[in-house]
Amino acid sequence: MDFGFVLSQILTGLSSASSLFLIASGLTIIFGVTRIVNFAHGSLYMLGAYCAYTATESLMAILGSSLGFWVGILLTAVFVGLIGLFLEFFLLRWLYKSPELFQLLATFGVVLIVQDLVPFLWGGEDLLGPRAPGFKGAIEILGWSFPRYELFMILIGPCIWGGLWLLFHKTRWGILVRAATEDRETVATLGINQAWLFRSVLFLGAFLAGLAGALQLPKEPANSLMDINIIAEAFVVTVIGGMGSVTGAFLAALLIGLLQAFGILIFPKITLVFIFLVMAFVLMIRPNGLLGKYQTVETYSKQNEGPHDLTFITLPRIFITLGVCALLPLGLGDFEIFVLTEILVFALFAFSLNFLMGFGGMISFGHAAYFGLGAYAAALMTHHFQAGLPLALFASPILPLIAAALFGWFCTRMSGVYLAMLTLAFAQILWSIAFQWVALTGGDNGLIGIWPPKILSDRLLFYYFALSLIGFVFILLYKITLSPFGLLLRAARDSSKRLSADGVHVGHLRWAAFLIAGASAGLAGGLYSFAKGSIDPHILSIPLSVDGLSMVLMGGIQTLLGPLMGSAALTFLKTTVMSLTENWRFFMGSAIVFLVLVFPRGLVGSLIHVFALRKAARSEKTERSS
Amino acid sequence: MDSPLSLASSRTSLLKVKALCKNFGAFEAIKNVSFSLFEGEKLAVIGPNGAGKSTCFNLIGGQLSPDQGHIHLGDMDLTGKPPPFIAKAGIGRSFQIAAAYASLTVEMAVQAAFLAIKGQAYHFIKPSHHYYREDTAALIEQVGLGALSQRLCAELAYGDVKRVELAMALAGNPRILLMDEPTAGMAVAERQSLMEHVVRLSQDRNIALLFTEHDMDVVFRHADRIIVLVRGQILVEGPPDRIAQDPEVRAVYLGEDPL
Repeated sequence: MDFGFVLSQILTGLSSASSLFLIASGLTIIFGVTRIVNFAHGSLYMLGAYCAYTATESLMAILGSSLGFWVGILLTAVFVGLIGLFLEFFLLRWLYKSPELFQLLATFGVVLIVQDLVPFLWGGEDLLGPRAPGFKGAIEILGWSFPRYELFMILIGPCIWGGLWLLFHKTRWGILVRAATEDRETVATLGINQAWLFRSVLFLGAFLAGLAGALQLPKEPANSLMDINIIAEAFVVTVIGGMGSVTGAFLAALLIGLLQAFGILIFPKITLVFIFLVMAFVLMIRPNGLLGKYQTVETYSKQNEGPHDLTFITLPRIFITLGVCALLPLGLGDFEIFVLTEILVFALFAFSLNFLMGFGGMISFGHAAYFGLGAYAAALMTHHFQAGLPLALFASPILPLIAAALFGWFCTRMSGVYLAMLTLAFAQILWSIAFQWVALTGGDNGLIGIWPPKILSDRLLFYYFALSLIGFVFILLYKITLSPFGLLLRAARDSSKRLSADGVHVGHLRWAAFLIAGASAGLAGGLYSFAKGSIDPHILSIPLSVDGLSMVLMGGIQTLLGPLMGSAALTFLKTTVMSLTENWRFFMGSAIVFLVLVFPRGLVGSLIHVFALRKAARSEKTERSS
Repeated sequence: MDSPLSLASSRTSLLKVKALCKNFGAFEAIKNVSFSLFEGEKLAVIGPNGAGKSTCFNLIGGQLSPDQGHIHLGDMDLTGKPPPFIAKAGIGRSFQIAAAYASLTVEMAVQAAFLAIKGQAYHFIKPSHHYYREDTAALIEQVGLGALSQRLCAELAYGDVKRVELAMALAGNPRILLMDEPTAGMAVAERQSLMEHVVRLSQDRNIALLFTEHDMDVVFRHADRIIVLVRGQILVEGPPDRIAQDPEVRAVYLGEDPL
C-alpha cells in the first residue's frame, strides 16, 4: 500500500478521534460524578452544530469573518453548557437516586424532545456552515491532499485533553471532581456542596459537547441525524475507555478513530459492526473498560423493593383478563382490530423484557434485537423459502434464541450500565446488518408481502389466533416467574452474591433467563410481521427498544400485568397522537420524562401501592382496636 | 509460631488451609496463611481492621481465588473453585454486610436457599411455594424468626436479616459454617443472643464454626481456639486464655482495642 495513502488515513482517523474524544470526555465526566449516563449528550452535540450555524452567521457579519467565527464557536459552547445546567436543574437532579433504567429513559426522552425542537427552530433542511477562517483548502502530504481543517482538528483533541488534565490535577475544583468520581459518599461527608459540584460538571460536559458540535460544522452540515449517529459511537468510546476516565476516553477515541479509518477500507459495509465487536472484545478482557474503576456495587438497598402483583395475579384472573381481551374487538373495524393486535404483540414483547429486567434485574437497552430477529426469521422464511405461517412462526423464536445464547453469554458477565450498553451495542450490530445486507433483508426497504394464509386473513380471526398464542406464552411466563427458577432469578436480582454462596451459578441462571426472554420476544416479532404484512430495519432499532422500556415503565416495572397495560397505553397514545400531530416525538419524550419524574411506579404499580397502603392502614386499625 | 496441635491433635481436621497467598496489585492482603479447622470446633479469626480476615473468608468461600496455596475440605480440593461449588461441598457462609433478598419474604428467601443448594434451580412449572414447606418452617423457627416468616426481608431489622442469612447458610446442612462478623451492626444484648443461637445450632448439627468478630466478649466466650491475623499473616494461634495472655497480641491488637 502507498505510504502517503496510509498516512492520510491515519490523519483522517486522528481527526475523527478528536471529535469523538470531545464528545466522550463530556459524557464520561458527567457519568463519573453524577453516575448518570446522559443519553441526551448527542442532542447537546447536535444543538452545538445548529447554534454554531446561527452564531457564526450573525457574528461573522458584525465582527468580520475571522473573529466572528471563533467567537461564535466559543459562545456556542458556553451556550450549550448553559443548556446542560438547565437540564441538570429541571431533570437530572431529580434522578440522582433513581435506578439506572429511569435515568437512561428520562435522558432518552430529552433526545426525542430535541429531535422535534430542532426542525421547529431551524427548519428541516441541512444547514451548511461557513469554512473555518485560516483553515480553508488543503495541503499536500506525500502526494495526497489533506484538508487543513482536519489537521486543526487533530491538534484540538490533545489540547483539550491537556487542558482537562490541568483542570483536574491543578485546580481545587478538578481535584474535587476526581475525588467525587472515586468515592462520592466520602466527598459528600466532607462538607462539599454537592449540588454545586454536580451543576458545574454538567456545565463542563455540555460545554464540551457543544464545542464538539460547533467544531463539526465546517466538516459536515448541521443535520437532524447527528444526535443518534454520534451517541452510539460516544457510548462505545466511553465504555471502552472505562466510564468516568477522561484519559481512558482519549485512548479509546484514538483506537476507534483509527480502526474506523482503516476499517472502512477493509470492511466498508460493516464499520459499525466492527466498532461494536471491538467494544465487546475489550469488555470481555476488561469488564470495566481500559482505565475504568467504576463497578456496580451490590448494596443492601430498598431499591429492589418494587411493587408486586404476584400474589394478586392468579390463574383464574388471568383467564378473565384474556376473556376481556377476547370481547374487545367485537364490532370494531379492521383498523381498530389491527391496533388491538399490535397492542397484544407489543404486550408480549414488553412481558419478555420485564421478565428479563423486572424479575431478572438485567437492564436490556437493545431488546428490539430479539423482537426484530423473530420478525426477520418469519419474514425470511416466508419470502425466501415460501414457508407457510406455522413453519415461519416456529422459526421466529429459534433465531432470537440462538442470538440470545450468544449475546447472553457476554451480557451475563456484566451488570448495570455496562450491561445496558452492551445490549444496545448488540442490537445496533443486528440493525446495521439488516440495513446493509440488502440481498437478504431488502435493506432499508425491508421485506413485504408477509401475509397469513387465507384461513387467518380475516383481521378478527388473526386477532384471536394471536391472542391464544400470546395468552399461552404469557401463562407460561407467569408459571416460570412463580417456579423455583423464577424465585431464584428474583433472588439473584436482589443479591447475586448471596445466591451464589447458596449454591447457584448465577451466570447460568441469567443466561437461561436471556434465552426465555429472547425466544418470547422473537415470537412476538414473528406475529408482528404477519399482522403488519411487512417489516423493515426499524424493528431492530433503538427507538423500538425504548418503546419496550417505556411500556414496562408505564405499566409498572416488576409487575406481571403492567406490560399489557403499558402496551395498551403507549400503542393507543402513538396511534392517536401520531395521527393528530407531526411532533409526536416531542409528546412522546415529554410523556417519558413525566412518567419517570412523577409516576415511576407505573399504572399497575401505583394501583398495587394504593392497595398495599390501604391494607396496611386497615391492619393498623385492627391492631389498635384490639 | 506456637504449635496449633496441642488442643486438637486427637481430632480429625475438616478444613485444611495451606500456605494461602492473595495480592491486590502490590498489596499483599494474605501472606502464607496456613491453618486447620477440626470437626465440631469453633475457631475465631481476629485482627485489626485491614488484617485480611474478610479476604481470607472470601478465599475459602470462593468469592476470591488465591494466588498461591491450597484449600482442602477433607479430601476435596476447593482451591479457586466458584462459590456454588463450595456451597455444595458443605461450606455455608454469611457476609459481613448481611445480604438477604430484599423483595422476597423470609419464607421465600429460605425456600430459595433450599432450592439453590439442592440444585433445583431449573424447575420451571410447579410453583416454588410447594417446595420444602416443612423444612423451611422448621428452620425459620430454629433461628427465631417464626413470627416474621411472611415479612419482606427489606422490612426486617438488621439483626433479623442476619438471622435470615444464618437460616440460608444452614439450609444445605453444611459441615462448616463460615461467618464474617456475625454480630456486626447489632445491639449488644442481641449479639450474645444471636451468637448463642449460632453455637447451639452448630453443636446440634455437628457443624464446625469459623468466624471473625470484632466483639471480644463474643470471641472469648464462644471460641475454642483463636487465630490472630495481622497484616495478612498469622501472628499467633491458640486457646482463648493463652491468646489473652500473649504479650505480642496485647501489643499489636488488644492494645489498640483493649478488653
